[in-house]
Order: sequence, then C-alpha cells, then structure tokens
Amino acid sequence: MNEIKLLIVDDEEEFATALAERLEIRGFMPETAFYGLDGVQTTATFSPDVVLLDLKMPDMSGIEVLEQIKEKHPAVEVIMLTGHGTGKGGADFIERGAFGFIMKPVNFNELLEKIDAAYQKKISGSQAS
Amino acid sequence: MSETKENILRDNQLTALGNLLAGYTHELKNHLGIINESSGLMGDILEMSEGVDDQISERFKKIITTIGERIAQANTMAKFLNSLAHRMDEPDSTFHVNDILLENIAFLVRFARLKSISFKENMQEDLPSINNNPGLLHFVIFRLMQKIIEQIESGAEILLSSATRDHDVMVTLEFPNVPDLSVTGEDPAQTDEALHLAMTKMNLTLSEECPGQDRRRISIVIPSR
Repeated sequence: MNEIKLLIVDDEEEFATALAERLEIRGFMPETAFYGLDGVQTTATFSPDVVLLDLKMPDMSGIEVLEQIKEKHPAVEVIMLTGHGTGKGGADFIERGAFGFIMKPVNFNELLEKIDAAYQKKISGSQAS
Repeated sequence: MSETKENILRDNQLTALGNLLAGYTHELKNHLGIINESSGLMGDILEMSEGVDDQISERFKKIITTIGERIAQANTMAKFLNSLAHRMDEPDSTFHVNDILLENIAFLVRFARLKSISFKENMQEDLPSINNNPGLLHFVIFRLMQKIIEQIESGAEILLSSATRDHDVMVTLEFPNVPDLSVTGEDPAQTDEALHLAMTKMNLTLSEECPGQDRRRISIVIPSR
C-alpha cells in the first residue's frame, strides 16, 4: 500500500495533520490541504491517487470540491468524510462521482480498507484505459 | 397574540432550535474526530517507541482504549441528537419506528439510572418503515416513558417492544403496575393535553391493559399514511 498518494482536504487542521501522520506511519504518502480551493489546486500539483475530502468547509462545500476534482481529474478516487450524524447524502456523493464516504469520528481500520479499495479501483481503471 | 400567531411563533422556534442543534452536533463530531485521531496517533507513537517501560506502556494503552470507548459513546449520543434535530422541522416522512425507540432509550437512560430503572428491548428487526410524523412520535414516546420512569418504583424494568400489526406498527411499553398512573385518560387536566394533541395529529391508537396483577401495558398503534 505504501505507494498510495493521499490528499486529505479538511479545514480542521489538527484532524488532517494527525490523520496524515498516522497514515504516513503506515507507509502512505499523505499531503494536506485546509481549504476547498487549496484541495482542488493541490490535486493538480500533487496528483494523488485518493483524496479524503471533508464535506463542510468554509470556502467551498465538499460537494463542489468533489465535482471540480472529478471534472479535471476523473481518475482520482474521492472518499468523503462527513460529520453528519446519519450518513445522510451518501447516495448523493456516489452519484456525483465519489468512491464512497466515511463518518467522523473515523474508524481507522474501515478507512484503511476503503482507501485500499479506492486505490484498487483507480489502478484497475488506469489499466483498462 | 392570536392562537394562530402563537402557533407560527412556536413552529419557527422549533425549526430554529432544530437548525441550531443540527449544526452544534456536527461541530461536536468534528471535535470527537480530532480527539479520536490524536488519541490514535498517541497509540501509534507508543507502539513505535523503543525502551518504554512495559508498565507505563500498558497504562497508556488502557488510557487510549478508554478514550476510544468514550468517543464511541459520545459519538452515538451526538448521532441521536443530530437525528432528533433534523426531525424537528420535518413534516410527515418515512422512517423506522425502532430508530425512534432506540433514540428515546439513549436520551432517557440518564434519568432511568437515577432510579436504578433499566430498559429491556424486544424489537422486531424487519419492521417495515412507516410514513407519519417522526418528530411527534419521538415526543409521544419520550413523554410516556418519562411519566412511567417518574412513577414506577426504583429498580424496576421497562420492556419496550415493537411489532408489525397489519400494515401498521405497534409499540408496547410494559412495566410494573402503578395504581394511580394515568397517561391515557380523556381528561387533559388529569393526563397530558400535549400528548393527546400529538396522538390525535398522528392518528395514534393507544390502549392500556394489565396483563397480570402487578403489570401494566401501554400499546400504541402507529398507522402509516
């Protein structure tokens, strides 16, 4: 898994940096962005395999960021991070191109599995094309 | 102020409270997320550290586990609160009755614990979803259970059941009998006017019976419309 490039886009800096450090310990290559627009720009420069994207940010909504990422970089897989109590909107994320979503507080093992599955999808997609 | 205007004001207050609560619980989950990752990172660093005394290491691991357990509990509470908040301004919608029962148990556990009262659940797992007013049902169940908790003796057990009844859902609350307890009488002064209004609005059918000498059972049939 250690070749996976991850971008974490979340306005909660302490959350994003702690999560990045935990993923780095496990061999991932994480990068962080703390604003939606920063997330879109970093996707272009960092070329992540998978983006972990917060749903609610002050400058842009996660949905807007998702749409821009998928429009410009369709091969990048996006996992939405949502603090919404009921996981409401999950079907909407998928419809707009997200690989899936995960609830905050994050179940770390579930997140690792989801990242791996998203990466496998990206790899199989690029091999097919 | 006319009654209509009073009602408009109350409706708006409730909607505002719902919005406020929904945003607040979202924020709460963000904080829990940060605590969760920070605690996880602490565990990771501990795992990687060499030369740490075994006893200290074990002590820290236990603390991290406790933090994780409490985060999970607080997260469940935030989830229930969030669902309630979103329901406050929701008119009739499709929902699962068991969700409302579980939420009410979560909210009332604290009050019940003060009297050493416990809950037992017997909920039909494949209960069909129904269309009615989930916010009002939440209120009705909460109010009934609150009254029961207030009046039954310490140490008692309340059994909550749900089951399909024709195309509707029936919820049953069974508990040790209290002779003077009245929740369904027709006289609002003796019972609860708000409860009656909510039940009427939802077309709920409520009945009371004593299945045994020392037992009382309240059954509520919730129609899907």
